[in-house]
Amino acid sequence: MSQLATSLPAYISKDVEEASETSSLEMREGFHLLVSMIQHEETRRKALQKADKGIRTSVKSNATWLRTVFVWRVSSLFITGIFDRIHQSKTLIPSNHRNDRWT
Amino acid sequence: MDVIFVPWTLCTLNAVLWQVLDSTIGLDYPTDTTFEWQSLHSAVFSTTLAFLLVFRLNRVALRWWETRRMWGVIVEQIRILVASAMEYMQHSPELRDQLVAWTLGFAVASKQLLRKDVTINLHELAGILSPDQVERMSSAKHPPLYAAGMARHVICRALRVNHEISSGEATSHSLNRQMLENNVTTLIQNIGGMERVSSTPLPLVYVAHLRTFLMIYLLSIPYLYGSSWHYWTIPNVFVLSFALLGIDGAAADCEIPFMKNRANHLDMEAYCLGAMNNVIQIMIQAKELQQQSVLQSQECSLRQTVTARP
Repeated sequence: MSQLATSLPAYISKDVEEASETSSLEMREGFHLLVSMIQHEETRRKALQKADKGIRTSVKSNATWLRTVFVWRVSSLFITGIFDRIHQSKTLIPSNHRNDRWT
Repeated sequence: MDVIFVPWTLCTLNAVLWQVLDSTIGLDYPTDTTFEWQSLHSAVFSTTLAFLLVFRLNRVALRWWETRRMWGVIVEQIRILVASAMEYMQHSPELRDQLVAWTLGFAVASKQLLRKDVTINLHELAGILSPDQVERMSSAKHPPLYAAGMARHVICRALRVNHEISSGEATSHSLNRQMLENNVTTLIQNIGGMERVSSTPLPLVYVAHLRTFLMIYLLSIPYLYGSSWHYWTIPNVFVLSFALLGIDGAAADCEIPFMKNRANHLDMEAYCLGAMNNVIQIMIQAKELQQQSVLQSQECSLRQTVTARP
């Protein structure tokens, strides 16, 4: 835009600059949602982060065996804290999901 | 692990009980018929169990992939709808933004519905919908349907055909409205599909039959093979129970994959976040393209002015 403005006569370049300022202002005004979304991006990201320490967050690599080791780790944690976990799973699982379980 | 813990413990305790009885009382087996029983046990139970376990795991894998596919379609339709709105609703920026906001609201509302959460966390739609709008959507009986209804209403308002617009515009508006309407319909169809998966587990008869046979098989092992395995009966039953119950446990865990705190369930937060990031990218691109076209048209008109001046 500035290249165009400098290559034109003075009375025209002034018009161009004014016009470009006006249009960019209109652009910002026309995209309220975009501005708002960018402003609140961090809030949304934090809110939508998965709360559990699942496979996706605990194992960074895509290696299948690493994921399997993670499952073993979770299983061993389950065995050590068995009663807490049973209680937790009962409180976390909604009743309609629970009816198909052994427990 | 938690899914199979009770039956696994039961089978192992049964093996321990057998071992204690055998050691203290000394169970007397009719050795001449043991082999026949073992053959029958192996042929009948193993075959039946193999069929049932494969069927169950297969059906659950299908359900899991189906739900993943439907979430993929929802994200895809959001992208298409927003990109189309950026092009065809330029004349009405406010309504265009509303359409984008309700479309993203649809994704988060779908997550809420499938999780059976009572409310939506306001922060999940920060900067997109106002707290009041989120409140109204989450308190609706079917939040995704509410969001889709709002999106459809916005489309109709933006692309209304009346006597004030030209016939060319009317044709264009009708076609664009139809296209956007189809996107909204696809969104509704896919949330419907996931609701079907969520509310309809595998018929009870399959699961009940499988589990009955599985438990009979595992509980009868010490009494049939104990005379041959002796002290190895307990670890053998422990491992065998884990292997077979684990298959059923995996199937049970993945059957309705919409819960938050399960590693194998769908990461719906990531899908919503991905859709939001895609939408931001589409909007930035649309903004830049719009700016470019405005500047190009200004440049053209200025050049015409310059050439027209004496």
